[in-house]
Amino acid sequence: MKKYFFYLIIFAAVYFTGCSAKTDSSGQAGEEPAGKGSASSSEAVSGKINIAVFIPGVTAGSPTYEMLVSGVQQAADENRETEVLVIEAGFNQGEWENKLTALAGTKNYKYIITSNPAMPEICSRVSKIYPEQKFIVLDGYLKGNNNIYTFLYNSYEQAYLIGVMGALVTGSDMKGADRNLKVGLIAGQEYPMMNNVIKPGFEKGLKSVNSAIEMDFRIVGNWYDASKGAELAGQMYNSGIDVILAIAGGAGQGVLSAAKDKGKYVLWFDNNGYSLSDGQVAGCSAIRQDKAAYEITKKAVSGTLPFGSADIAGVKEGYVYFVDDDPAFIKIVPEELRAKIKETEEMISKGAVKLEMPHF
Amino acid sequence: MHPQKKSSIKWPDILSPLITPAAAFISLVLIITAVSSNPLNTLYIFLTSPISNNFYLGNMLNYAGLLIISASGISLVFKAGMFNLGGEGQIYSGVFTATAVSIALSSYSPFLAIAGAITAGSLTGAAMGTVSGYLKMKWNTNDLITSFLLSAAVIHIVNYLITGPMGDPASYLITTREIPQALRLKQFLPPSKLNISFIAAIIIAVIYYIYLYRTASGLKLRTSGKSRLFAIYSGVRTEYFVTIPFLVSGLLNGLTGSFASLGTYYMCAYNCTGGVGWSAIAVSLIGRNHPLLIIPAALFISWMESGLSGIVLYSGFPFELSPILQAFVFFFITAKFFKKEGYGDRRHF
Amino acid sequence: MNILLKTEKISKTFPGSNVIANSGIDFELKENEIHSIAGENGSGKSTLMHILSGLLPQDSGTIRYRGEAVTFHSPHDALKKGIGMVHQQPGIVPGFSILDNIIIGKEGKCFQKIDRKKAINEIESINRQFGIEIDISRNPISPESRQLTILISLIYRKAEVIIFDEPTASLSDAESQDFFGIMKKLKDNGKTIIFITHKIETALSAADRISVLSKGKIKGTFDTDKTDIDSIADLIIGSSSGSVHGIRSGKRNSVGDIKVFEARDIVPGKSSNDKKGFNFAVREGEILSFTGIREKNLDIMEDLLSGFIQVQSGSFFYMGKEIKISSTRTLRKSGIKYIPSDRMGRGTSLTGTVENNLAFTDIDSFSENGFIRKERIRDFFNSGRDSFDIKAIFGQPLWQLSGGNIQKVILFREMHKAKKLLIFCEPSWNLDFQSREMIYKTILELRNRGTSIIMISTDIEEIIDLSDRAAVMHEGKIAGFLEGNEINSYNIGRLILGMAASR
Repeated sequence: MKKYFFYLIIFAAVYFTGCSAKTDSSGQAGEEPAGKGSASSSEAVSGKINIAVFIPGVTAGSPTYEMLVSGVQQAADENRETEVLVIEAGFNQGEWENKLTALAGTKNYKYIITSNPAMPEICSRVSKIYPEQKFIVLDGYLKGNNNIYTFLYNSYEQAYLIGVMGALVTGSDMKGADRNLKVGLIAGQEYPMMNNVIKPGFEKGLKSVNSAIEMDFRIVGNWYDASKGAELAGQMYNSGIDVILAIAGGAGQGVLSAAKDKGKYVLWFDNNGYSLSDGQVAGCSAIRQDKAAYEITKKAVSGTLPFGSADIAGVKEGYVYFVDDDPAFIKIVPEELRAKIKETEEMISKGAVKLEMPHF
Repeated sequence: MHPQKKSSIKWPDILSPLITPAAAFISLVLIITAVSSNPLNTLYIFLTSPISNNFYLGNMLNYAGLLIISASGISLVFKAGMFNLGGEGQIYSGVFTATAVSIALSSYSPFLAIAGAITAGSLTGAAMGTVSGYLKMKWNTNDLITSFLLSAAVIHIVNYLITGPMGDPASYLITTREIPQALRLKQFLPPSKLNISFIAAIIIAVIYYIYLYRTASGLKLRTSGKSRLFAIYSGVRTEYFVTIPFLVSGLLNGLTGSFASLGTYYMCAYNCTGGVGWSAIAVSLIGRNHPLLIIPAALFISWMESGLSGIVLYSGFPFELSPILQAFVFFFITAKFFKKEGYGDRRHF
Repeated sequence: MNILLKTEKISKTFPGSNVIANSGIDFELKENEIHSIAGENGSGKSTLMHILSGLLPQDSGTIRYRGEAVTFHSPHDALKKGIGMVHQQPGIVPGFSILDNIIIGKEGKCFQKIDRKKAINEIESINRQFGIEIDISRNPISPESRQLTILISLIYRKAEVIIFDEPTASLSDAESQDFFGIMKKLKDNGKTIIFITHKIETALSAADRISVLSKGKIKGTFDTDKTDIDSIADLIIGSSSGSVHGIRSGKRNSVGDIKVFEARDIVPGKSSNDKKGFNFAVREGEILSFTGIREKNLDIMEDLLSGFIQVQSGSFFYMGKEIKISSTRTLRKSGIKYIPSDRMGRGTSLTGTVENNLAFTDIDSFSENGFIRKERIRDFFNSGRDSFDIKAIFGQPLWQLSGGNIQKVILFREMHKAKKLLIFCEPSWNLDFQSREMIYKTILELRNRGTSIIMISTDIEEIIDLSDRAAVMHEGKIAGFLEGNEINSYNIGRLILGMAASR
């Protein structure tokens, strides 16, 4: 009997102290008393606008999602009557449509914002069940559905930029670079955008610097398995590759640790990744997802977002860029290379290099 | 003289299967109240969202149906004294095979294609189960290990096929192609996915119960599981009751996967089974003393999972709550809350 | 001597049963005495001892240890007060040596290792003190070694009162002698002993006092030098019984010439090379018995006949036709009945219900189209309950029954429809006096009706009383066959030892 009492005390202590910070994990208030389930109308109360951010996956560790959330949140903060809820849908892709359907079914959110090339298709299916729901999809493309607005980044340009950087690194005298002229690309999975746009764009960028450079393309198989990523990257580095572009979500962490082990380089995609590691990241070709999310949300709230259309934006428009002002980048990469990449970026912006999105 | 009444029902008999779900439930409630800033509302949503509309209700029942089919098979193997730990892989192979076969047969009549898909999916599960059963029978290899390892290997194989040769190149998801509209099981309660598999599940559970407790063969199976020496002594061919339960369990898991494919997912996405095999084991453990308890146990688990999805949706809870629920259920299942007076089960073999 | 342990009006009824196991028992145990508890099966002996040793709680009544009322929530509690019990089937950890079995549970606080050397020294000195000869590094497999393991374990934990439940039931005569020697040493060293037994002779010779239990009540307690077998037997049965030494099998009616069962050159599988095979035959209406030391003789014979050991060469014949006994299934299909010596393991399913234990071995005849017909089982249960006086309720789990009643369940099941052949191992195992008489009568009835019986037993008395022919085994072979008057303890003894019998 005494034993039970003892355990009970420990339990109570942990419970009450450990749980003092009572917040929801995703940070924002968003708990609607509209928990009555079905048909509570969206903004019945005096112009209040509810926005749901649907994350296909998990926010943490995924730069595109993190930027999405921060951009939307910023826009919402400027408008007193806008509330944001973030829903993570997890890694089971088979469940995404289900969860999106449930979310739309609450009829609680005027706009559902999401980001992922797979989402336009899923949104259009859910849209058939709930025709009043409006969807906004970043990093995706679908034209002609009046309930959906999509915004796509010119990943061709984005990939070309980082390809150039990769070529510069592998041909250089930087510490980890060898003279093998082999560069790697690790992706979470194969999908149309990867196969038809990013990969060719990357390769084009590589060969524009030196046509002898070879590209080695591999798949992790999912977007979260870091140890698999590390294993794959390790093999690649061992086979004479000195720099790898990692587009693999959480698995990218594994690529970084393999690079650290072997003293090689990693290229990052979509956001500033220099701080993720200790001298391994030699270049980042990023998208201004936060800027886009912010602007698009503001337009949506003010009712000026053109649903039914699909926009594409690249370097010139200011949504795709190369991250070159980070101190880590300046430290690792020599002046000469940095100047070259800056020059490339300017050329794309001016239109000297034509990189239109291929069909995907 | 000698009164002829059945041994009276004692409290432990009734309560002990209820303790596990109750304990798991209470733990979840504690977590919710600890983490949420509006616990009462969250709890309300947790409890009522599964039945709040057709979509939730139908999906909840649908999922429960899948759990019931799988859990019946797993329970059968338990009763035979073994453990089928390979549910996840057997179900997953069923999903994949049924998807592939239904697409391959899509040019034939829907009835034929669906029947073919279900049969194929069930057979892959049966094959996996038979391997474990046969190895156990012949060389007494540990069934826990063989069933689990084989299942884990199959999961990787299917994943390879999905990310590689069998994957849908046109899709942004990591998945196979979709099953054509005509071959999908009809939805009873749109927009939920409730379909005929739920009815099938109930029928299967009832048949299972009748087999186990009303037939001589069922009694032989139970005896082989609980008192093996006595079964041998009584002339029972105990080898049969090693291989065959595993075969049947594998088959039922494959069937679960087939139904999931044709009725819920309409494709086989990467790791789409999402732990249903493990939840089914939990269901069968809760109902370990009595097969018919599988039905309420499945409804309970499905309700909880659905409730959790509900609060994730409404309150932005992290989606990891679902595996945490599973963990609690498994944890409490192994505890025996009442002291036993003698030897285990009291009323039945 | 003062009174060490005393019970006041202890009562207990098992849940689900209407039978009162213990009814208002007042029992007194004097310090440093050897006290034996006798009584028929189901009289409540084991129950009372389980209560005293903390295994079961009583429904009402008090236990007083040295005058002070005590409550035991577990055997652990009882042992703290110095009371420990050695059960009939002692629970040891298989795979652990005797030493490990003893020191298990004696680890100190967390992270404190057991001082094995110290433990070994202590145990060896215990063994010397009490005359126990055993190698504690080996695993306890035989019933005797298991018993000793628990006994040493209790002494090691400073038990003062040691209760034995049927200590010599599974022991051979030689081992029983050793046991009583140890018991005497225990008493000489100040311990107090209780032992439960059926064997009244043994009780009277080994104990200081004897208490007789019947139907849950104590009928009387006596000094053993002031009473005799017949008086005790009277008390138990309640009527004059006649000679305790059983019944002579009487005139054997003519035995047919048909060989019901025959073994030719049977060599058990996995046995060493040049063994000549077993050759024997049983004729119609004949009782052929096998006796000898259990290990390597009778257990092999039993397992050969029941299919648990395969035959390496040679053949069996049943009613003239060859049969391959690959498993007990063969026996079942041929209609041969078999009562195993391992009653609890092979012979029953302890977790199952009484009626299922009765019906399962022939379950197909209680079913129709695969579905079990409960009425047929119920009828069978009723007839068993009435004819063999089995104290049980329909639906009761078997483990709740007393040992003797479980026996009766097995016996009824196998003897009820015995046709041509019955293989009966250790017939009187765990049976009290009255039941034993009944079983012997039934065996003889069966034989007189033409059923042949192969009896495998270590109990020489019943071999003598019942056999028409006896095969005595020695060192894994049949040392010799005895017939009629040749079957006596002298001849059997000599053959067991390997010498020739005198004809």
